[in-house]
Amino acid sequence: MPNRQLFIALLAFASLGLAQTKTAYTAPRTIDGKPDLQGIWMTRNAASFDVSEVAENRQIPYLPEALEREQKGDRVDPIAHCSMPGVPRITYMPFPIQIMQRPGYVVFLYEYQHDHRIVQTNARTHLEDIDFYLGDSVGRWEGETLVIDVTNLNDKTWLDSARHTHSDQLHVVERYTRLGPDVIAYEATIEDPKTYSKPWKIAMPLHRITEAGFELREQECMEGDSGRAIHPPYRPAPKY
Amino acid sequence: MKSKFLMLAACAALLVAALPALAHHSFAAEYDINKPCKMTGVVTKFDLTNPHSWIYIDVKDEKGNVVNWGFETAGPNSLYRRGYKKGMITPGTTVTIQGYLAKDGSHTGNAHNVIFEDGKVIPLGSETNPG
Amino acid sequence: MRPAVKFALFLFASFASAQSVPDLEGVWQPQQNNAMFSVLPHKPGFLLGTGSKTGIVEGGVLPYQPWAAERVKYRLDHMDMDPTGHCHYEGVPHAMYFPFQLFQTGTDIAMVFENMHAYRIIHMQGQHPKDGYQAWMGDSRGHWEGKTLVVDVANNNDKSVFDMAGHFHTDALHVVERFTSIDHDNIAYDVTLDDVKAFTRPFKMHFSFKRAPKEFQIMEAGCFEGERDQVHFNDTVKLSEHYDHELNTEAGAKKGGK
Repeated sequence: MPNRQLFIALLAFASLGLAQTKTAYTAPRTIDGKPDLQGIWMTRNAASFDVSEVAENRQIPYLPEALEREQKGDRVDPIAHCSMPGVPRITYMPFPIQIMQRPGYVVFLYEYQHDHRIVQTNARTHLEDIDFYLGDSVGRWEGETLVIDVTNLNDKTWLDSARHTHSDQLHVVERYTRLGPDVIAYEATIEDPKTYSKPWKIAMPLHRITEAGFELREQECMEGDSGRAIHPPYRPAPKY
Repeated sequence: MKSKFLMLAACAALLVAALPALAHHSFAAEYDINKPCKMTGVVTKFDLTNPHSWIYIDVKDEKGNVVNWGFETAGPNSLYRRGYKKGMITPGTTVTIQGYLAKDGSHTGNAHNVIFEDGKVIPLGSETNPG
Repeated sequence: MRPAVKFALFLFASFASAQSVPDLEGVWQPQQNNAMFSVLPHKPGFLLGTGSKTGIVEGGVLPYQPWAAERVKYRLDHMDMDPTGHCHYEGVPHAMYFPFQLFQTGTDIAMVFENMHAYRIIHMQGQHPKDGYQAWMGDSRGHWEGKTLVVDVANNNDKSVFDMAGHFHTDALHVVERFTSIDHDNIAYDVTLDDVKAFTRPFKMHFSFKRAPKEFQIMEAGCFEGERDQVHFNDTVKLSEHYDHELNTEAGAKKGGK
């Protein structure tokens, strides 16, 4: 019978798939045929405290003069003044991220400070002559991976709360690849000729939040808020 | 390619210049519509920042004393949409600023127009200003 | 059923359901009549704006209870109380006076604003949280009624305001928005508001959104970084004396028929 034959054929094909490398996962597609990254995701690591935790070889290749500049610089984390955290820090702040996709766009809605990034995926040219805290993001698809080129970053952010700084020459290339139903592999290549001797990479998984009914809530930062500039929105404990 | 985008952005700027993009306004509390002003001076500092950019100019009074005045203008996004380009307002440039004075008597005002020595005018008022 | 047929039917159903609701996507520019200064009619020059003959409130009156009307006057004369001057979130419908880009999926509709780097997520499923959650922008639940997106906004805090003219609300505020697609380039926006703690009856607001030119893109805008105005706030000028509008009268409440 046709269904039985189809079933056996699918089984054979599936076992072939299992024999290949784990990066062979093919994400479901959106309506315009792109890998579907939608959902609510969050990192689970200490990168927001110290980004070298997620760096290759746990090292940041500082230029000596840049390290000296940093050590003589400001000692208060800009986010304590409700400053936007910059890229890539916004990705590993310990708050959920909702990703929405529409043809030509990937929209990142961050719970943290209600920050957002609207990324066009038509590889448009970067804006000129204007700097942003979260930079100017230009996206494109490379097979299963969303690649985002981020320039126009200002020099007012830290990469973490351990005071890893950068200049306005910072350039970040992010790569988002679904590895499975509930995991996105996030990689960022970071370069800044005024701060680092060479480009360096960070990598971490973004985990899907699978709690039923989980939604982003409003997280507002108000300077002078009794020093609790970073407090998570109220969420009651789930009932089991 | 890049210049085409910028040209389009500039055209769009003319279309949207009248519409507010940002909320933050404290004009009511700070500036007095009954105290219009016009001063000429040399730019000492230009802070391109949100929610409002600030232009600081050294102004000479009749006695020759120099007083530094600060004028609030629109934020970066609005300025770029109105055709502002990096380098137009830099320390050392002589400009004339039309605007409204602050109510509290401080040396501050809200800038409405910036007029350059060659007569060029850039409307740098925040969207919430009349005119 | 054969998998291929199932898939084809699924595709057809997706397209069919996608066709049956209007497509509200795009970048929209509110034609809000200077509502951010005041939602009521006001003269040019008030708060340095260009004025509005009609405002956006139906009937041109905000039916405040007497204690609340006095509070409005007080707030007008103490502009340091205006939250937007401190870079606080606008709330609904105040946030809607500023341009946004709308993204529409089956489960959520997102409105992404340049102003205050804000966004609203309109959940197309689920219920308002009942755990005491309060937010500046409230909690939004949407559904379709024909060509109209109806959004119910609850869980509002008492800190956001309707405009700069002291028009506040309490945490009893409940808002119902109706976004109706008129044509490709226009959306009508009708709002019904009720707040039993501050007003004598529900009231309505109306304005519209126009599609932005293609080149206009929503960019990033912070508010925190250069906030320097607060130190200059001065309350010696009584704004309430310069503001010619009907705050609340019993006559106004009677007009409303309650």
